[in-house]
Amino acid sequence: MSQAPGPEASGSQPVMFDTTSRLVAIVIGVVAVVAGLVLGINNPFLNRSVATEGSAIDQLFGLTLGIATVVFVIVQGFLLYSIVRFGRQPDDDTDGPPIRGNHKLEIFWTVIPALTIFFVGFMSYQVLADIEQPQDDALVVEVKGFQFAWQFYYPEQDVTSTEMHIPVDRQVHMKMRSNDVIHSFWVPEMRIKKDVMPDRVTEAFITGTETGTYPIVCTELCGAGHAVMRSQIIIQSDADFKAWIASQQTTASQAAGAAADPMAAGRQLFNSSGCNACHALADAGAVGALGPELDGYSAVAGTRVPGQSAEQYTLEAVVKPNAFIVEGFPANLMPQDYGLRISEQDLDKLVTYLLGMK
Amino acid sequence: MVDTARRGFVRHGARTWRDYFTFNTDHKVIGIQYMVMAFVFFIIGGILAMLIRAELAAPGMQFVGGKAYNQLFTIHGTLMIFFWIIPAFIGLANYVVPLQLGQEDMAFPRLNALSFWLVVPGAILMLTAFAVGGAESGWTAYPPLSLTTHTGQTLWAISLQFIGFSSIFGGLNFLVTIFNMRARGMSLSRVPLMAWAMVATSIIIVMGTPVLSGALFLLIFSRILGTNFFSSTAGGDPLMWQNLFWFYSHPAVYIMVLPGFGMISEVLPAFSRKPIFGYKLIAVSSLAIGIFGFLVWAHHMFTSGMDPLLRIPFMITSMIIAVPTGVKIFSWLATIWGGKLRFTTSLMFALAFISMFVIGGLSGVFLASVPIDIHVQDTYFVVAHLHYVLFGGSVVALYSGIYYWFPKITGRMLNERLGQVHFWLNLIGFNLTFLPQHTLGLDGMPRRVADYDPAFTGLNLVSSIGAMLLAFSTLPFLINVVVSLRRGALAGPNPWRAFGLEWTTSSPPPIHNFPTPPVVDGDPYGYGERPVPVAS
Amino acid sequence: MSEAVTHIDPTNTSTGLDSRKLGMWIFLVTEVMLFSSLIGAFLQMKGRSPADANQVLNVPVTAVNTFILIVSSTTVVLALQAIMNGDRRRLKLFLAATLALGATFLGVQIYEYSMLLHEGFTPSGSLFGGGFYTVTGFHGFHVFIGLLWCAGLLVEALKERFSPSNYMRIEIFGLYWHYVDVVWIILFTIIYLI
Repeated sequence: MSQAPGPEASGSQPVMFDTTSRLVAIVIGVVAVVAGLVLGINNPFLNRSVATEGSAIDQLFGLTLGIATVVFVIVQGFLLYSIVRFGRQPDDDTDGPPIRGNHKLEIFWTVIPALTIFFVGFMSYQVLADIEQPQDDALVVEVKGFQFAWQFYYPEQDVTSTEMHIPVDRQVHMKMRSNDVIHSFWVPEMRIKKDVMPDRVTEAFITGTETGTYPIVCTELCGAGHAVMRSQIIIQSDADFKAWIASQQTTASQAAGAAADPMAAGRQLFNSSGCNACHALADAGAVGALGPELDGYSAVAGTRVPGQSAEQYTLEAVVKPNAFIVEGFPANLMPQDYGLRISEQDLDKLVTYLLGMK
Repeated sequence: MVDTARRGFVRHGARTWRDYFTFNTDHKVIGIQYMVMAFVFFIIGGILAMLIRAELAAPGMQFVGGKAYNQLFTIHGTLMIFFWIIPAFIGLANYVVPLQLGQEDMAFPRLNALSFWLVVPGAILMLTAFAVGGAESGWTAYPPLSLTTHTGQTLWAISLQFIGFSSIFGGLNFLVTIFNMRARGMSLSRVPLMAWAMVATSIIIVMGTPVLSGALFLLIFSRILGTNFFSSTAGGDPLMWQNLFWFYSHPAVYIMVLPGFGMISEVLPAFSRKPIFGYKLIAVSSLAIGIFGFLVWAHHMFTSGMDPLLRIPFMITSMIIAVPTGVKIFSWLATIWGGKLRFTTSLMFALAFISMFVIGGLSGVFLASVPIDIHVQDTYFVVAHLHYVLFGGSVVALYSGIYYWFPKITGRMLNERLGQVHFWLNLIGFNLTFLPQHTLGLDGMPRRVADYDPAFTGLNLVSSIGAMLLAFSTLPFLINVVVSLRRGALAGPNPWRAFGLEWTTSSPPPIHNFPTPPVVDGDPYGYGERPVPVAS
Repeated sequence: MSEAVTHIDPTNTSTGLDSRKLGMWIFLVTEVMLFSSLIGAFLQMKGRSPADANQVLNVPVTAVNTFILIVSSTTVVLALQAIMNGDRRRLKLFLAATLALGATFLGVQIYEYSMLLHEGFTPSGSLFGGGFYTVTGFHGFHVFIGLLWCAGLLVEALKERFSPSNYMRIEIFGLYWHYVDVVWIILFTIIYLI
C-alpha cells in the first residue's frame, strides 16, 4: 500500500520517555510531592471537632481515609511501576503476552473490595445510629431559616436570638423550618448538617464538647445572599448559658415595654428580622454588604421618592422593595414578603428606629 | 474527501465544510457535528469557570454580585453536563461504533440527524436563558428557589427538554444498532468494549432521561400554569423534585463516564500490545453499573430531611457500586502489566485517567457513608469529587479517545510534541485546581458561594491559579487540531497497528465505510495471538 | 457513486428482530418511565390533598370512554390481522374505526375538561387538580399524536401501500396504540376508581 509511513516507521516522532522527558517528569514529580506535603501540613484535612457527634464522624473519616490511602497507594503504585518497567524497547514492535484473564485474580479483586466496602458500610451504620440517639434531657431549640439569616427560639425559656447559644456537654435537639426556600444548617466544627425545609420540620442533634464560638453556615443554595447567610453558635458553660438566657429574657421584657426605649426595640427587631444580614448599620453592629448601607439613612429617606415622606418611603422600602431600587443595586434581591413576616407594630418600630438615628 | 448524496433537504456524506452545517444522515458527519459543537460549549463553560475562579481567588466580592455569581455556576454546570460531555461522547461514539461493528451507518440514520439538530434549539434557548437572567438555582434547580427565579429559569427547563429528547433518540439508536447490526461472525462476545459501554450508557439514557423530562414538565407547569407540585405554601412537596431529579441525574453521571470507560478499554490494549484483561468482567461490570446506578440516587439527599431509615439502603447501594468500578480499574491495570507500552499522548491520557478517576472514586466512598456525608454534603469536597470523576475521569478519557481516533476521522496524525505539552499542562493544572478543594470542603467551605471565610484564602488562590493553567492547557490542543488538519502526517488506515474493524478501512473511511462488508473471526483484542488485519 | 441517502435494511439483522419493532419497544420503555414519573407525582399530590374523585369527576362517562378506547385497541388488532391475511378492505375499515373511536375518546376528554374547568376545578386550584390535568393531559397528547399517526397510515392504506409482506408499520403503530390504552386503564383506575 503506498501512503506516507505512519509514526510506527518514521523516526521523526519523539520517542517518549527519553532522557529529557524523564528528567522533566522527575522534577515535576518531586516538586509536586514537596509542594503537596507543604500545603497538606499547613492545611490539615479537618479542624478539631467540638461535638461528640463530630468526634465519632472524625474517627470514621480516619478509618475510611486509611483504607482509601491503601487503595490509592496500590493503584498509583502499580501504575507508576508499569510506566517505569513496561515501556517498550525502542526497536521492539512485537506484541506482548496474550493474557486475557485470570479467574482467581478476578474473583479476588471483586470479593476483597466488596468485603472492604461492607466493612466501611457497617462502621458507618454504627456511627449513624450513635450520633442520632435522642436524649431525654436535651435542650430544644427551634431554628428558623429565611433569606438570608437565622433565628433561634428557645421554647422552654421563651427566648429568641439571632445567635445560637448552647450549654456544653448537653444534647441540643434542633427543630428546624424555613420561611421560604430550602436552606441548610451546618456547623463545620461540629460536623452536623441538616436541610431546613419550608414544608416540614427537620430535626438534628448536636452536643458541644468545648466552649467557644463557631460559625453556622448555610449550606444549600438559597438565593443571592447564600454566601452571607451565617450566624454563630456559642457553646458556653452551664452557668454562662443560664446567665445569657436570663439576660435575653430581661431584654425581651424591656423591649416589650417599648415606649421606654424605641431605639433598643428597633435595634433588636433590626437584627432579629435579619436586616443585619444584608445591610450595614453601625448602631446595630451590622456589617451586611448585599444591600444599601443604612448609616446616615435618616437624612436621605425623605428625598428618595418625590411626594413620599420619610416614614412612607421607609415602610414601603421594607414591604415593597422593588418599588424603588437604590442605584447600584439589583431588583428582586431583597425578599418581598417582609410585610407578611413582620407585624404592623413591629414595622412601625423599625421605621421609628431607622429614622431616629442621626 | 468523501462523496455526498442528497434527497430533498436530506444529505448524506460531506465533501466541503458546508456539508457539516446540513441535516446530514451520515453518522461520520453527525459525529463531527456533535463533537465540534460540544467543544464550543466546553470553551464557553470553561470561560464561566474562569470567571468563577477569578471571583474566588480572593475573599470579598471583586467582580460579580451574588445573583450574577449564582448564574455563573448554574450555566457552567448545565453547559458542561448537557452541552459538552454528553454530546461529545455521543459524537465520538457515533463516529466510531458503526465502524467498529463493520456497518455502513447506524440503524436509524435520519433519527440520528434529528438527534443532533434537536440540540440546536436547546443551545439557543440555554444561551437566551443566560442572557435574560433567572437560571440561578444551580444545575439542580431545587424548588422553591427555582420557582421564584426569573424567566431564564423557564427557558433553562425547556432547553433541557430538547436535550433530553435528543439524548433519548440517540440512546435508542445505539441500542438497536449494537444489537441488530453487527458484522458477520461478530457474536456478542466479540463486540468491542466501546460498544458494550454504549449499550450500558444507552440503557441508562433510555430509562432515566424520561424521568428528568417529567420533573422538568412539573417545574415548567408550576412556573407558568400555577400548579403546586413543589410549593410548600400550597401543600406541595419540594422533596419530590429532588427524588425525581436525582432519579435521572445520578444515573446521568454514568452516562457521562461509561463511554469514557469504553474508550480506555480500546486504547490500553492498542498501546500495550496486549488483549484487554477480563473482557467479560468489564462488559458485565458496565451493565452492572448501568443498572445499579438507578438504585443509589438518594445519596444526594442524605441531609435533606428524607426518611432517616431509607438512608441506610441507599448507603449500601452507593457503596456496592464501587465494586464493579473497582473491577474495571484492576482489569485495566492488569492489561498494561507486562505489556510493551508505547507512550503516545493517547496512552498517557488513558493512564492519567486511571490515576485521577481512582481519586474521584475514592472520595465517592466517603460521600456514600452517611455520617461522613453529613459533614461534607454541599461543600467543596463534593465539588472536588465531581470534578475528579468528570474532568479527571470523563474529559481525560475523551482526550485519550480523540488522540486515538483523530487519525481515523481526519486521515492525519496529531503532533505528539504538542500533545505532550497539552497533557502535562492539563494534568498539573487540573490537580492544582481540584486537589485543594477536598480540604476546603472538609474545613468548612460550602459550595455555590460567591464569598468565603478569609481563612480559606490560601487554598482558594492555589485553586484559581490551577484553573488558569488548566484553561491555558486547552490552547496547545486546539492549535494541534487546527494545524494537523492541514499539515499533519498522513495517517494511513492503521497508524497504531490496532485490532478493530475501524482500522481495516481507509482514513477517513469512504462514504459507505467498507468497500465490502467485513467478516470477523475473533474479538478485536488479538494482540499476541494473531496478526493485525489489513485494510482490504 | 451518488446514490440516494443510505438505506439501512431493518429486516436484515443480527438478532432476527425487525429494527423498527425493536426500536418501538425501546421507545415504549421510555414512555413507561415518563408516565411512571408523572403518575408518581400524581399519587404524591393525591396523598397530600385527598380529594374524592367521585365528588369532582364524572366517573360513569369516563368509564364508557375507557371502554371506547379499549375497543379501539381491538380494531387495531383486527386491522393488523386483516393485512396479514391480505384483506386490504378490512385493513382500511379497521384503521378508520380505530381513528373514529380514538377521536371520540379524545373528544369526550376535551368536553370533560371544559366542564371541569367551568366548575372551577383547575390545575392551579388544588394539588389534586394539578396532578389530574398533568397526567391526563399527557395521556391525551399521546392519544392525539397516535390519531395523527393513524390518519397517516389510513391514507397510505388507501393508496394500497401495505401487503402481507409489508405491514410492519401497522404493527408498530399497534404497539404504540396498545401502550396508550394500557396507560389509560392504569390512569382510570388510580384517578377515578381508587
